[in-house]
Amino acid sequence: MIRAFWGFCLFAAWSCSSLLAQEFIGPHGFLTLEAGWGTQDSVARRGTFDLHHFNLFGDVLLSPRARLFGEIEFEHRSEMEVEAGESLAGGFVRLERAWFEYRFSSLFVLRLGKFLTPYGIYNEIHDVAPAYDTTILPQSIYGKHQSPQGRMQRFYAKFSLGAQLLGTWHPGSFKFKYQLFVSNGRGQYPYEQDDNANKGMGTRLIGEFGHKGPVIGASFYSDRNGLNANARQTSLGLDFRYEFRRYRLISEVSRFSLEEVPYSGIMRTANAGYIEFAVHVGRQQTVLVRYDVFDPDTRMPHDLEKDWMFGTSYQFMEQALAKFEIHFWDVQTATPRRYIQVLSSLAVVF
Amino acid sequence: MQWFFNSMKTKISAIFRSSLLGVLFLMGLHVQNGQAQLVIVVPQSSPYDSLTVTQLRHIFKGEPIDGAQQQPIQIIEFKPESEAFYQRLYGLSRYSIAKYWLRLIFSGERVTPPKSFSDPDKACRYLCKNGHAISFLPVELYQKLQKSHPIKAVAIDGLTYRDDGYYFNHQSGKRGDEIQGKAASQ
Repeated sequence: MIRAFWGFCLFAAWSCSSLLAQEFIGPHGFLTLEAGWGTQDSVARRGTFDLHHFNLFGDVLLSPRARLFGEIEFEHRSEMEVEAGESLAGGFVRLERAWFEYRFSSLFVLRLGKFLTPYGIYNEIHDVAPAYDTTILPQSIYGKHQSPQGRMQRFYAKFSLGAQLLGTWHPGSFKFKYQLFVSNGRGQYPYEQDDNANKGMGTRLIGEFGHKGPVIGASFYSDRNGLNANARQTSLGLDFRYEFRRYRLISEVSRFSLEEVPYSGIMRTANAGYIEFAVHVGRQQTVLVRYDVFDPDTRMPHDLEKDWMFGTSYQFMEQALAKFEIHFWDVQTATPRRYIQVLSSLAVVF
Repeated sequence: MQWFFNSMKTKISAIFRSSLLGVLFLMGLHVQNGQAQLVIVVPQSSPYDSLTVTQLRHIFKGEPIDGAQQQPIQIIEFKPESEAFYQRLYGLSRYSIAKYWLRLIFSGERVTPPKSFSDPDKACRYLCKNGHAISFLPVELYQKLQKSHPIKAVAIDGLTYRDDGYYFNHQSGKRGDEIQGKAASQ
């Protein structure tokens, strides 16, 4: 395995004809600023501004076949020094993605490094708010939920460090795309020294039925979750996207299962799904409605988390998108809660 | 009192007339926009002389049209016509296509983002500088600019922009669809 890796590195270095030929492509990054107000608690009632993301990109074509891609994220606050009375908590700087890509053909592309796990429609653009119309993504699939151990985490790794093989096949107007990956999986040191023997692995398959047809996708992710007593966690998702003239329909469903946590008897199967309908109004505005539902444990009755969202986004200049949305949450836990969340944001690409 | 009603009547009539004129003007603009014939343009050095509509749909979504193709094709948008162009090619607005590109770029796909120009001369200069590029222009502009820039028009489904049924000739667009349908069925 190690020999194969070094062999590949030598081959890639040899075939990148000249580093002088490198060419910067793509935008430099994006920024998202948010304002929120809600009725869920006293903190939300006060209202808040949040410089959520400031992300910088580097996308360099080293040769016609080789490419380097990187993204650094400044989330919330990221100062290393604080004023008296301030807290350092609540923000961070993170290497969001960094990979080396080598293209053998459009059918076989190899990526090595840290990438956003290809799961569902949005995980690969999880934080890229300029690329979607709402301030927050559907929380059932893309949000964090409480694990049986009490940790807040997603049902799949948001980031993966490892190798990915991907490719695209275009027979006529049909388009088929696949992504297969193996990674360190989740644990205490997922980017340095993996502390569990089982790797995270998964696939994403996408079929596009003509340029005016629907796009159907399937995602799979499985690992022994090192942050959850090494219990195997498996996620399976299906998604559908159809855009016709001014209308867009998106829907996703996922099933997450956690095998029995050793010596605890804890196991869980959760279901999640949403449906979103959007209409483009005029040339720059989108109006949308979404219903999102999450069942954290299929064995438990009356524990659904539902969210009705009504929102709009307006592209007031080519690089900037303003968004406004209202969420009506209905959380049916032991102490049922119904609350409203109002969010507004500005997303700018530069 | 009578003078008040008379003056109101005059004002309402003036507002109605100006609104009607405005609507007619906008309709005129719309019709004019709908009638503009577009030409697919590439540099003289480009290997592409003829493309199919399916290939064009791949190219303008950043997809390779040939598995061996190493470098993504640089798309150069002529902004004033891009709405009409994308509506014709995909039935989608430029806004939808721009969002598609953002998703593509930020998900880490290997694509070259489109460049947009409002000035046709600048668009042509950029096109000629980049041998592996493609653009679209209205016929009149193309005929004017080809005298000063080394550019050429690409035939679509075997038809040049002078032919009846050329895909981007809006008046015969329907016929273009029929021809394309026949070609696909053969």
